This record gives sequence, C-alpha cells and structure tokens, in this order.
Amino acid sequence: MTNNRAMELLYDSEASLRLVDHELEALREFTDGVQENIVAAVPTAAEPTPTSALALVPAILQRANAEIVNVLQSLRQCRSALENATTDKLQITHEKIREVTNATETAATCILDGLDRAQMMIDELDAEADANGDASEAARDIRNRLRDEIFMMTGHLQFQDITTQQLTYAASVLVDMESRLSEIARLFDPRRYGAPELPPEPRPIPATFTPDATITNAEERQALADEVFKVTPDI
Amino acid sequence: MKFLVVDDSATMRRIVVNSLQRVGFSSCVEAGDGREALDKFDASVSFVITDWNMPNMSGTELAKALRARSDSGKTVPILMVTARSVKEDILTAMECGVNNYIVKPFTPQVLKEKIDALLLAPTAS
Repeated sequence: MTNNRAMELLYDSEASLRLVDHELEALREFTDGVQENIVAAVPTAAEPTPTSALALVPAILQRANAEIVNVLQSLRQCRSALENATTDKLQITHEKIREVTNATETAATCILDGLDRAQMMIDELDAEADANGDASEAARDIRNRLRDEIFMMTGHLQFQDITTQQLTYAASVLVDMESRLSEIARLFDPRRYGAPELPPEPRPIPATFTPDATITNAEERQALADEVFKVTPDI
Repeated sequence: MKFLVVDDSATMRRIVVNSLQRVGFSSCVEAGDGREALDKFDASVSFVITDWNMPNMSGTELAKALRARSDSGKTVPILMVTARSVKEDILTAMECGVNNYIVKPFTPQVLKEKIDALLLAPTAS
C-alpha cells in the first residue's frame, strides 16, 4: 500500500470522525432538553415529546458506534499502510543504497589495482628501453604522459568517497523517516494500550558522513579554506 | 619523512598515499580512524593527513588528542582532507589544532602545496 493510499485513508478517517462528531453534537443538543433543537437534529421524530425523543437515543448511539467501527477499521488500514511503507519500501531502499555503496567501493578498488598494474607496466617499459639502449625521447615522453594520465585517473576516483558520503546521508534520512513512520504507526495501533510492543526501532547509522559532500565547485570551496588558513596557526 | 594517513575509506587512503608518492613522499603508515591513528602515532611520524568524519574517533578529535600529548604529537603538522567545506567547519578544525585544510576532491598539486607550506612554516616540526 502506498503513502498516497495512506493519505486517502486518513482523509476517510477524518470524514468519519466528522460524522461521529456531528452525531454526538446532535445527542448533546438532545440531552439539553431543548425540544426545538431535538426536532431540528432528529427530523424523523414525528411528535417531539421527551418520551419519543429518548426512544431515539439507541438509534443515534448505534449509528455513532457504526461510525467508530469504521474509523477503527480505517485506522487499522492506515497502520498497515504505514508499516508496509516502513518495512517494505524504506528498508529495501536502504538496502539498495548499501549495495550501491559496496559496489562502487569494490569497483574503485579494482580500478585502483588495475591502475597500479598499468603504472608498473610503464615502469617495465622504461626498464626494457634502458636495457635495450633505446634512447628515444619521443617514446619516453609518451610513457611519461601515459603515467600522468593514469595518475589523474587515480585522483578522479575520489568520487567514490564523496558519493559514498552522499549515499550514507540519504540512507540516514531514510532511517529517520522509518523511525518517524513507525511512531505514527504506533499512534494508529488500536492495541496501543496493553498490546504487545511493536518491533524495536532500527539503529541509527553513525554520522560518519558529510551531508554537503559534493564534487562540484572544488576550487571555490578550497579558496574558502585557504582564506581561513591564510596564516598558518601556531601549533 | 613518514606520513600518517588517516581515513575510513580505503580508496581515499590509497589515493592520498599514491599522491604522496607522486610528489616524492614514499614513507606512509595508514589508519582507518582516529583511534587507530593514535595507536600508530609515534616519534617517527613527521606529518599527519586526516579525514574528518570517521567512526570511533573523528579527525578533529584526533587533532585535539595529539595536541594534548606531551610528545611530538603536540607539534606534528596536521593536514585535514575532508569533504566538509562550510566556514564554521574550517574554523572548528583550526581550533582543534589542524594546521591546514584541503577540500575533497583535491589535486596532487594542492596536496603538495599544503605539505610544502607546512614543512616550511617555522612552527612545524
């Protein structure tokens, strides 16, 4: 059940509660003993005498009871919708984020290994050239440029750390939403008093991330740090 | 000259170590968080490069802990490399005893500039 469905149920519940409120208001007016009000609130009363009006009380209470039962049913459905959203959608999304994080970390490690091997191969080419008396400056220049390119690629792998922090932040938001939805689900639980406890809340993710981590505007942000550290502080 | 590279991301540690080797510093010891860094810190460490957000002990806590020591931790240059880039954070790092600050993602050139500046600074060890 989606969150939209939960919202619809909430609106239905509100409408049902308004009906109950209306019926209770009619009942209150009735018990005030004002005959004119009784007639207005209970139009089916043909002869508005105290005796005949009292006879309507069971019917009114029965109708109120029916509305309350409807409300309880809606509340149960709301709770179910919230629990489904919490347990199914959020936890699955959280798990997916963790998978992506692990996948990028594994991929970054493999790429780093590959780049290290490539660097070693260039070193071997240098050694081969020296051993064979190959003094070609052009070839050496190409190897050096290749070495530079590989090193630059290594630096670009910083994206993995930054995106991991962004994903960890997103995961922490999901955990927070999960916790809040669980709290709301508790409020919607008709067994709230004396009923068995709901499952414990998920443990929060340690805040080992930077919410504003980004790979954009690196130069501007570095300039700010340089401005602050313009004078190297005394140790 | 031995560097202590502290980051909970193994990828970042490798990138920093590679960058250090690229600019001529080949002696490095690595730690996954501030607590491990404190365990590995000794008189042979001449320079500390640390991330901020780490489990168990953060980079700022590490800086404070080093500055509170009576050994070379009191004066060792500390360079923070972090994705945090708001001014309040940078000032906080400075107050904790960090000597300079690099915002991720960084280039090896920036890393070398900061290291050179700290090694030339009169207060650095």
